Amino acid sequence: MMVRDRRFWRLWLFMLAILCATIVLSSCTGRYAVTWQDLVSFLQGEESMGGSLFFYIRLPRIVFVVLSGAALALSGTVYQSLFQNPLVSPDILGVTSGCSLGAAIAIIYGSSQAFLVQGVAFLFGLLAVSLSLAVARFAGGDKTLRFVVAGIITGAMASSVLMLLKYLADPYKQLPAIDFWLMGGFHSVSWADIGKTLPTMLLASGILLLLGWRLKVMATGEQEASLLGINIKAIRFTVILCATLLVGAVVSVAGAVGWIGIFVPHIVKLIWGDDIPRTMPLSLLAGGAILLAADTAARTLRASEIPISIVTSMLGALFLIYFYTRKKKPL
Amino acid sequence: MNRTPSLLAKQIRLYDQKKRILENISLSITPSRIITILGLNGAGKTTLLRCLAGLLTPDSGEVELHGRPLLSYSAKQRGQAISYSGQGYLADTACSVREFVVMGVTPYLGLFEVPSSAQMEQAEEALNHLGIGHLAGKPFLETSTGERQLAFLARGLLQGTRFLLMDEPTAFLDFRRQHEFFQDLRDFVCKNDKAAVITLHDPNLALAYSDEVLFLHQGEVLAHLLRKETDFLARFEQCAKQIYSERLTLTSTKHGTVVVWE
Repeated sequence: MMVRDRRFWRLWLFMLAILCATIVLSSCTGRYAVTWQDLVSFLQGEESMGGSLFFYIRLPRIVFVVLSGAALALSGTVYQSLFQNPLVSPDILGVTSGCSLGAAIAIIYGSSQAFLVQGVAFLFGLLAVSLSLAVARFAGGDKTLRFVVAGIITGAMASSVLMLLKYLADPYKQLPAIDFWLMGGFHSVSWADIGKTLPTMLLASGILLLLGWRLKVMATGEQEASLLGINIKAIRFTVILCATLLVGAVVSVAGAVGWIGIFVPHIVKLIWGDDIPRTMPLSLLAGGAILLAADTAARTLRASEIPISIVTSMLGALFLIYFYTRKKKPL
Repeated sequence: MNRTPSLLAKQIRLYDQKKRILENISLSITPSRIITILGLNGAGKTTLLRCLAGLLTPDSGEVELHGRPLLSYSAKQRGQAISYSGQGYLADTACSVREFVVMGVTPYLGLFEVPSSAQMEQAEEALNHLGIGHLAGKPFLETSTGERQLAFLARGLLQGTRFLLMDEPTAFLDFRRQHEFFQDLRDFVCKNDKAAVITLHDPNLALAYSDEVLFLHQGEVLAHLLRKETDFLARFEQCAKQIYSERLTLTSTKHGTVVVWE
């Protein structure tokens, strides 16, 4: 145990170092060039134009991107473990599209108050995941495929309702707002957004991290876990709730950021193996670093920003091609 | 109220649609003994064991633990009282054998608690005791079925329950390990006042190690024999003949009575 523990902490610190390096690198790149020396002087609190740009525009964006990457990766990791299915993720189960639909409804019928958008997004995400799980439960056939098909059905329903909403929306005021929001992106993130979503994220990920051992026992099979005194229904409900809350919090601010929740957990599992109490903290760091790298690329590759989902989808798709073709046995 | 710890099956009846699986089964399990269940394939042995573990709910009748319906207990309380290991069960898990065994302490952990290093050592000791200490760090999925059965026993020992239910625990063990398994189990059961309920296909193992034998035939109890009764051997032979074949006979040797096939 000791050797493995030490190996884990070494890997964890290594990933933390990568994350920190990515943060520094991302801080220095962008339309407004910031040098290493500038960064030091900002942090020492010297007043300057560059300093306030950095503190009010670039830094909150970086912080929120890291939080989002961590949240999405953690959510994907626990979904995959809970259902013992490498394809189950917030995207596949329709959580992301459900959250998007919820947010669009809130924008059209409510106000753009962050609290409301976040709440409705979460509610619809939960609705979508419940629908997927219900369909998967009553469907027969291959266990892996069942969840995927159920997710496709849910996703199709959510996007058709979304299209209807867009069709009915005011083309001058609401439609651009919805579209802009659906593309996903971190360009408008402020400290206020972080303040509103951080408590949810901390609470949900804290609970998930603490449930590590229960999740590990449940990964040996639900029957085994219930014989070992685990209240399967309560744990499963709590875990789905927390994982969906994490996605809802991200989607409510940044829109749909696809694929992070499916390919980051795979990367972590490739490195460490299937060991949920350890892969959870590792996926937090990996998710933060990868999404931040993607976001930095999205805002710097061209003069005008590329929507983040374009970058993450491409990354995710390329990785999955590698992942599927390297494995001889089918998932 | 009944003070002795007990696991009771009260007139259990279970049908799969129209097909009879279990019919009117009553069984009282009290500590300090090994109870084996014999019967043909499909006689209902596994189903009965799963009912006793609370994994299946009978259509009528009830399983009671310490005088209270098993269903009224929480998963945690049940996990502290009854352990169960399924037959040829392939746990689809990436954990090591040591981690698998230490999962036995889960019913005693708080919601957010993880096993302590002392409990890890207990798991290691249990594995050493069963002669598979060298497997501790090996991935569970890379072990043989026999090794897994020993790992299940180790986990059951760690779970420390009063009642141990095991479905064909020795089916994949080599000859020596089958006997060592039962000798270990007998010591453990007597010293710690536990009760083990075991399904078996080998009447010789049942004859050699059980305190009670339950013969199941087509979902019904054919006989429930106690070793301490004087006509135990005669009735054992009679039931075994009825279930398996007339060609089966009990022969006494200078090392004890054995079942042979003529």
